[in-house]
Amino acid sequence: MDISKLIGKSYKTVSLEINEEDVVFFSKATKQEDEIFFNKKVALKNGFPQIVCPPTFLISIGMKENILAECLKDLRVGIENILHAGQEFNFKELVFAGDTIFMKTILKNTYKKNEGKLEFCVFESKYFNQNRVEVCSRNNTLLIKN
Amino acid sequence: MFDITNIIVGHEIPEVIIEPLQQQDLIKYAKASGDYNPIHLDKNFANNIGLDNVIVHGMLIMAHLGKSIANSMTIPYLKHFSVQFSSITNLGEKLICSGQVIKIEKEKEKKIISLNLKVLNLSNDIKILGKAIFST
Repeated sequence: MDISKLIGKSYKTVSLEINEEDVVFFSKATKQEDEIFFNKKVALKNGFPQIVCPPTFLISIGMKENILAECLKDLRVGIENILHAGQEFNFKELVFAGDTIFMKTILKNTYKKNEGKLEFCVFESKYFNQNRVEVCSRNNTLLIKN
Repeated sequence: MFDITNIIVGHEIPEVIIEPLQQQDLIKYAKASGDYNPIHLDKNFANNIGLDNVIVHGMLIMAHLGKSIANSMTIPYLKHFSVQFSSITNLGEKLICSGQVIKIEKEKEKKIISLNLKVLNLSNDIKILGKAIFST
């Protein structure tokens, strides 16, 4: 299957109100050390309006809706046939507990390496907050094992 | 703690040690992130695709790497954080996150600081190569 034909395909917009408990749980699960990521008092003392989401927290948005499964269905591959090759975050604004985030994902690019034996696809997700301000764009690169 | 004031090219950021991750750490991360890919949670699934056991989420390692650069002083200026996953990480591997300032550019009143990052195990196998950019 020529997956390059799918470039530009967009996926449903997902929205999530980020609750404090989820940020704290994520921060504990990733053993964050700076208390701005899990202690509201410390975050406020440091001039932030709320607990700050750690840099990779946005990865958790869209997981419940299983956007990845939809992407894999389009690519006609099973989860056992992919490897996570890369992840890129470009931050524009900080994200805080209490924000409502909207995520829009498209298949941005596909390319091949090693004479076509390795095939990569790049999904781009853009994140906007409740003020419709873009806070981050993320490129998620998957390697398809042919 | 990493600080971007008064740093120079060549500056090495404080290392972050990732103590050996165990199955319960992966279960906790799966709940936190929503990433329930069985390759991280189900030994039988891992065996069926030729692995001896489940492997650590790459994004869990990236989150740990983030600790080396993102803190109360630096996170407002963090503009870019990217990684390439170079090899899989097994349960019980101890990892070391490190990084170095490779470029500082001035753009009007702003300072753009670029870092190379890496995560290695104790045998110096590369797990992650990464980049971070701060803009003041």
